[in-house]
Amino acid sequence: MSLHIEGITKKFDKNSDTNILEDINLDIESGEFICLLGPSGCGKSTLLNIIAGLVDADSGKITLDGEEITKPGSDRIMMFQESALFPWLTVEKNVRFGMKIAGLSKEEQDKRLEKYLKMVQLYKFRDYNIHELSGGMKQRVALARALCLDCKILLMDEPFAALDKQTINVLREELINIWQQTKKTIILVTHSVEEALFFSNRIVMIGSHPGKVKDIIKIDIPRPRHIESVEFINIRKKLLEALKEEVDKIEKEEHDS
Amino acid sequence: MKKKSTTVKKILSRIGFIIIIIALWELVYLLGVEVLGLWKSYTIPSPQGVWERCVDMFSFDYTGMSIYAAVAASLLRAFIGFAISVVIGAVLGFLISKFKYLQENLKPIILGIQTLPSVCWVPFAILWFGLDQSAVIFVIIVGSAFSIAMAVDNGIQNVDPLYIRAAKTMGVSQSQLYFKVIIPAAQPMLIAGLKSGWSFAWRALMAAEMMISMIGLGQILDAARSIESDINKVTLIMLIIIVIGTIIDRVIFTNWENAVRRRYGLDRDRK
Repeated sequence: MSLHIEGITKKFDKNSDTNILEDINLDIESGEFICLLGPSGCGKSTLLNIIAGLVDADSGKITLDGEEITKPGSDRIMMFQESALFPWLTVEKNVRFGMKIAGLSKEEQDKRLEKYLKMVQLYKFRDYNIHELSGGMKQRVALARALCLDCKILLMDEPFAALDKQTINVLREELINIWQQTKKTIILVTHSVEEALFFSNRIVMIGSHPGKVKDIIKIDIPRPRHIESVEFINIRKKLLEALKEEVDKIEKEEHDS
Repeated sequence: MKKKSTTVKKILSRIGFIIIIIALWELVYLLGVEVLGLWKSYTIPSPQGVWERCVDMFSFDYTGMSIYAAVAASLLRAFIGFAISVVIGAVLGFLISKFKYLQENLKPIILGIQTLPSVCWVPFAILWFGLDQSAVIFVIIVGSAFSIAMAVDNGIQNVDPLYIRAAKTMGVSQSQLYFKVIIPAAQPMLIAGLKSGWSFAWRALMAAEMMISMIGLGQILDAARSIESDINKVTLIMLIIIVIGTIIDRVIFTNWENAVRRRYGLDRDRK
């Protein structure tokens, strides 16, 4: 699998000359864990939506294994800040939903359902209604639903942003484990330097106004990574400074206008 | 256990309240009609008179217009009218939600027409369909189809866009999006729409039956005053109309609505 992003530009709206994203170029290889890091409002989520095919770019193109992306598809599953599970279905039926759409056989569905719900440790909760789950459990079900579809890329739009600190820590560990087990390619959008450092093979810094690739930073800290390690702290300092520059830029512009 | 005893308590308290109302009614009747003679007895019903009429009408050797036949005729008409309203309302609501042109131009007109009480359609109904079954059903349809259409449109419009995005990323087709995501997601609002549509239909039916004089509850009600001058019978029929309307609203629609809301986790903030 390889994802090739070439000259993606997206305007604020049709008739505007301000760009949300400007000339984004990026290549992503199989099995990579990439974080798109940037201040809020820099267009990183928009880029993820364009990769998902949910939003059209104004120019440029994205190819997945040589094929141009023009619409959403189950080879690129997106996860959101909210779990987006369907409240009218139970946990099990939510996880089956995508597999049914994909036309998998009943046996295959059962197999994957068990495998991935066990992977996120929620197999026991398969008959629950969605509103009976905590925020963290919902995100785990959403992850299982995505994994069942055996997509080429998992796109995650700040998937932990609505959760509490403890839950975030647990889920980060789980996600890393699952990534190592499944060898999925993951692109995760975040505004948290810590999160990006914890996950990434490479961090793509997106600058703001307009959203451009400001820097691509390869992170070689060995796994499992610890937030307290010296390497971690050093890189974090540098990244925080770079991020602050961008945040300041946004603030300045907001004051000016 | 605790839950059960509170429901029993609630029911008892409600029955008690109804007894109080009936007692007050009897008191007012006795004072106003029999003791002070303020009102003529044929203008004020009495609890006892209504009860006697009830026993009388529901007994099988009643010689007048059968109450059973009237209830059956009214209910049948209501169901036919309501069923057609649901179909028309669903199609119209879907089209309005789908096409911006209709959303902007047709919707305001429908909202306007909706302010017209359905009984105002009776003249048209009689001219077009005569004093016939279909005239009554026509009045029911104009009375409830538009409100259902508005509810369908609202339901579809208010589906959380996140569900739609999530479904699209899993690769659903356009028809799957409607049948597997949008309709289920809108279900609580759709049921609420059916419920209000039903109550419009029931009201429209009674008005139409009184004016068009088809066999039915509305017609018995009107005849009880104009032909028989029997105020107790008028009251009894009114009570029957209330009871049937309430039973259908409670037993079917409210239960259904609550079950769905519970499953969706929408009633957690209540109470």
